[in-house]
Amino acid sequence: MDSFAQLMHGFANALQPAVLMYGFLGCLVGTLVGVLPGIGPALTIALLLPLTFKVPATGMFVLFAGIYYGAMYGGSTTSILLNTPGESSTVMTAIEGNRMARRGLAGPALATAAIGSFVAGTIGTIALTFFSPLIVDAALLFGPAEYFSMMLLALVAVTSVLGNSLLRGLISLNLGLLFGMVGVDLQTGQHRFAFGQAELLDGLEVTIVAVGLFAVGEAMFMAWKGHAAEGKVEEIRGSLWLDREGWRRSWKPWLRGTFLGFPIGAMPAGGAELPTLLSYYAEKKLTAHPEEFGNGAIEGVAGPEAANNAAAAGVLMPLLTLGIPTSATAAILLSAFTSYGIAPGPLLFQQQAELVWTLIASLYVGNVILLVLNLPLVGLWVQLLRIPAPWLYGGIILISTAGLYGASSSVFDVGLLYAFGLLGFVMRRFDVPVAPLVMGLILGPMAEQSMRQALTISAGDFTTFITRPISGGILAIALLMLVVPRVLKMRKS
Amino acid sequence: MTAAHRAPLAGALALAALAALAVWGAWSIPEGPDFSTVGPSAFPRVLSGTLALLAIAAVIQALRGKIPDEARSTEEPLLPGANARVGWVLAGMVFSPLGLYLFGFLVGAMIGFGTVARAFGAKNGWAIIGWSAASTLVVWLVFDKVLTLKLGNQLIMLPF
Repeated sequence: MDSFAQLMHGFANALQPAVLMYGFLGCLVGTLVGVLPGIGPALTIALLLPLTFKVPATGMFVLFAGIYYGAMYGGSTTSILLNTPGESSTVMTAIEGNRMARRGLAGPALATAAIGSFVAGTIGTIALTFFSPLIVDAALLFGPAEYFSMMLLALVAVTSVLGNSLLRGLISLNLGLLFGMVGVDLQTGQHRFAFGQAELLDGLEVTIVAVGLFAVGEAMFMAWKGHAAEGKVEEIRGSLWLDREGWRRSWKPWLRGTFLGFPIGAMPAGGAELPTLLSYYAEKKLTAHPEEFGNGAIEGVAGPEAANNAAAAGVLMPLLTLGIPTSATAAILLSAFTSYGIAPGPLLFQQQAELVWTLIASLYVGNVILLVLNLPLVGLWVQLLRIPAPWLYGGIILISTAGLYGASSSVFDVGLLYAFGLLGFVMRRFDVPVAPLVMGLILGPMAEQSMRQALTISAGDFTTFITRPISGGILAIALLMLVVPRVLKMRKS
Repeated sequence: MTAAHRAPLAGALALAALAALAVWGAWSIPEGPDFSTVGPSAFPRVLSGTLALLAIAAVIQALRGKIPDEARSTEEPLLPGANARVGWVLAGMVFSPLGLYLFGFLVGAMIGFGTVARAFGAKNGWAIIGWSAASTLVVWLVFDKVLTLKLGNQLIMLPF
């Protein structure tokens, strides 16, 4: 069966009432957590993991897909109305979108964000549909050596987007890689960095680290700064739809954002932050209204929002086809697959074709649900933003703590969560980026395992990484990524 | 050295201490069996060594005043009372797990909620207790009963 026929079959599954209900629920919950600062899709999906014992796989993954896409839509609402980005990838939206809202244009800003997200999400999902089978064909030839090279490429890609300072970025990445080593070594059973603690033998869970750094650390940082109570929720004025001028100025930024977002999101370690940034600067350069930038330009909302959602679709590609998660949320999704006894990777498309295609079809359906749901319900989301800061952040800490404690019933894990919260606060204070740490934690152990497997196969011969053509090719790309930008920089100066 | 350098230097020294711990931890992992080229200790040793070098570089940068400190941000200056606010959060981080361990979910979670609410400027003690008790109960009902996470069957337990 070709992929088109399989996709149609997936739609037939995804549109069944029970599955549709899970999709609807996921979109609703996803938008909710996207609106609230601090609680992201990673934590929410982690909270729902215990349910995987009770709900069939298809329903559960459709739910997760709804949460994943919904959080992207919800994040933009917070950015536009509160000037506090709900997610790290909507930082650029907060700049122009909030200015538009202050000028009384909240309606068009919300509309261009929602419609742009729909356009980009749909195109991104189409790209996912048609490129994934191609990647799968290539990935079937992959051995441990190729996987190691892929992950090395991913880590190189992280270093190229490390933030303001190379040193601080490398510190973050290195910490993440080290945290990834904690626990029992899978090949020899040797204890590593456990310091006699039985709780550490299973390793540090991505959920604990990510929630600690993002939710707890962010709450602590906000408390320290003391500005949280000042956030003013803008009134929604203006029609919640685009006029002719709005459409005319939005459609090109949507498309450009999409074409930046999907490929970068699909690259290992591309993530969603970089394409939103690139899209913003591209629109700033190309706009016919440069005077409006910094003062609420609609292009500055349309482009980054589209990039953000296209990247979200892109992130699913390495996860589904290679089994390589490139964001915290993708890492949690990977563990959800594992708890159903399903291993993502090239074989997923053969062994679990029905599940994969239902999941992909539900991404299309979810985008439609979100477009329909988001704008009419925006009044409800605004009410959430009006919760006074003490109760809002108290609630965020409560939900984070309860989610982790409930999953493991371990007070030690709660302590660990707060320790990573403290680390996140310190990193935030001294401008050390947090994302490389999470990437290192996810990719470090995977890279180590594949390297050692590859070396076992090659009887300890390190040249296997270069002499195998695909692996060598990937390493060459990684080397180019490392060298070329620096050479260009040197030429310039 | 000025006062402005002190906080980043403290941060860099903390990183150096962490790196020292990592080096010690990495070298206490025994080497693997002979047949494997890359044993269980190889990655930890390389990574902890790199971290130590990075920590030294961070200390040097901190001494030169090259590490930014949000406490001195001019864009969004720190409001007075920052230490007290962080103090409340830190107190919660210590006493909430303790309460959780000794008295169960309700007490532990209420301490966590209450201290953070206080840090974000809630002043009225009864409002804090009321909101934290209500939120904790709702979360317990939803998470434990609906989502079947395990927050403990008894809301309050006694340490004996």
